[in-house]
Amino acid sequence: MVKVSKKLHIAISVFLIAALISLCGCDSKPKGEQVLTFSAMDTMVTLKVTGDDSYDVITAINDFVVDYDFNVISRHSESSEISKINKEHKCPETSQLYAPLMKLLSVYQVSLGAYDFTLGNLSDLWGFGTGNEKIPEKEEIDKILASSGAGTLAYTNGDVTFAEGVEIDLGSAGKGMALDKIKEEYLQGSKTQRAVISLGGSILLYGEGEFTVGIADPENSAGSMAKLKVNECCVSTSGNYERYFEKDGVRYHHILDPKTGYPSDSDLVSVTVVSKDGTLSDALSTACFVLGSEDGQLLLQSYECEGVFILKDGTVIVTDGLRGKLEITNNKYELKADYES
Amino acid sequence: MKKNLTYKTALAAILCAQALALGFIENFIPAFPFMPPGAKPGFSNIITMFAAGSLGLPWAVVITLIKALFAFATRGVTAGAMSFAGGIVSTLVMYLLLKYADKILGLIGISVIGALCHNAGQLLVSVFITGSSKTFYYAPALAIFGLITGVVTGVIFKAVLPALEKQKKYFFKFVE
Amino acid sequence: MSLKLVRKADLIIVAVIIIAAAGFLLLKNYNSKEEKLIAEITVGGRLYETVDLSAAKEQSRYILDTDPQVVIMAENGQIWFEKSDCPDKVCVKSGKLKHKGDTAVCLPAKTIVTILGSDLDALTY
Repeated sequence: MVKVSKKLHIAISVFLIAALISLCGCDSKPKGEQVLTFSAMDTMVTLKVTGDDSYDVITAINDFVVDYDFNVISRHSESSEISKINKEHKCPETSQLYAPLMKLLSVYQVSLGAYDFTLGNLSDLWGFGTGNEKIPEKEEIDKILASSGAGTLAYTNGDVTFAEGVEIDLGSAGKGMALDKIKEEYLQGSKTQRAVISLGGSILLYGEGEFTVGIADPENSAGSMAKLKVNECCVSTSGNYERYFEKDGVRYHHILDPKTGYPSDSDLVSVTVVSKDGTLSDALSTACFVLGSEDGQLLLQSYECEGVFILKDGTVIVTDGLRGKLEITNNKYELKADYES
Repeated sequence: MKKNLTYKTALAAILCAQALALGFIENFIPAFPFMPPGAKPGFSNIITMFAAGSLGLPWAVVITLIKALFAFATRGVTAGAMSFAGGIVSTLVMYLLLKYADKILGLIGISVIGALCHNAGQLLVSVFITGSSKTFYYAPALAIFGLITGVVTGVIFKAVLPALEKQKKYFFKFVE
Repeated sequence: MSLKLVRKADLIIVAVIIIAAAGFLLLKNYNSKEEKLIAEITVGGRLYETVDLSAAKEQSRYILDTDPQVVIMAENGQIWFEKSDCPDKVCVKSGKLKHKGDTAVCLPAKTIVTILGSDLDALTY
């Protein structure tokens, strides 16, 4: 057999030492794309982060989401910020929820009341998501509507105060608020190149380049009916297919019209809103769903946001900024004729 | 011949004790940052390798079994099954290599292959336990780790071989 | 036992292991980007439905008004022909599709179910 020369011995040693050093050198934490899926905020959370510190970033976001849900926005958690605000009927200027609530209040005003985040008692009455859904008596609904509404909010020494009977519910905007915080506190300033944060159907797309977002098929929300190409932004969808119950052949979905107190009945089955701001995309999608396709488009214009409206008859309307960005992949749906170029 | 067996048993018992001791000492080695989860250097392979080469397959298997039993008793069923599967596969392969391939492979080669077989056996058990082939994603990391520990054990083996031979002779001088 | 510490073959083994491990790692990273799966149902060459299998936690059922009629089910990352009125039932016998590239065909109904890697970054609902 070949005798191993001294040179070869040295070569092996050098190689092994190099291998050891290179292995020690790389952090134990994995790099590159990290994907994490877990359940929080009553929905499926999927985090995808790419960057040199993706492991740290994704772990921090995971902790944040769980903490934010439990300690800030969940009405079901006694110790949360929102429970405290609802108990004291006051949101102090120092609260971290003050600024987001101001944003929601503006949507309430601009949408002329089609969006209202103060109707927690009303959704409790309907029982959406509790398993005890029921159609309430009209008197009960009217009673709640008479005593609540974002219009009853007042300023006292800089704090926002409200009357008994008003229950702030962040179900329609909490996910978007979380997305804004994630972007500000965990992604900006990190080494993250690209991130996709899905809190249920509310999505933050972060980083350079184009993203492709599937829009759920209202008839089968596991599948998508269209692909939407967007750059860095937040995307939210409101649809009548997400949370609902059926009674006597009628579908009662969870997006209530603040004017009537009943599930909103516009010409839409789903609205997707694209915005730089997660809180806005969440709130505006709900508002647009209630307003319907025409007023919804006007609302988006005043906020310089874009949207995709799916009408009950299968027609799809996109706002000007999204023209050419939407590709319908299901032939049950059709882009509105005058939108095709 | 019977006398021979007695001495072999005694030597095997000593080797067993040494293998367990090495396994115990391993616990004090701090985890390297790059170490795959659950991976250990496997220095007790030095002993199984020696047993496979000088006492033959049956004795090497006995030592492996006792190692697995010890793992079972001290660290539970999973550890026992892992140790057993990894140990049997690697002992068998090292025995065959030492017997038939000692003119082609050096100690490092045999030791590395032994370490990898140990990993492979453990991976198979983990696939069986978890029912998920995703564990195989660990394979590359384990292979690199096995490579390094294999080389290290090979070198140590060469270094301690005279001592092990001496120990063996001590037992066998009574026979001869 | 008078074994040499290192022989030429040892070096080859070491090299092979390193190359194999490196190859595996590359392959793994390449694959993990494609983990999300979507299935496409096409009828007569036209896209009928796109199903996001990663999101399909609940059972979905598609009854296609083809001749012969076929029923396709999707659940838990799998999609399959549940029922078909065609004579040979090759499509039903194809079983459940779950990996990228899996395909089942019902020739009489001109229906194809294929699993593709998803090109979507996320689904909004």
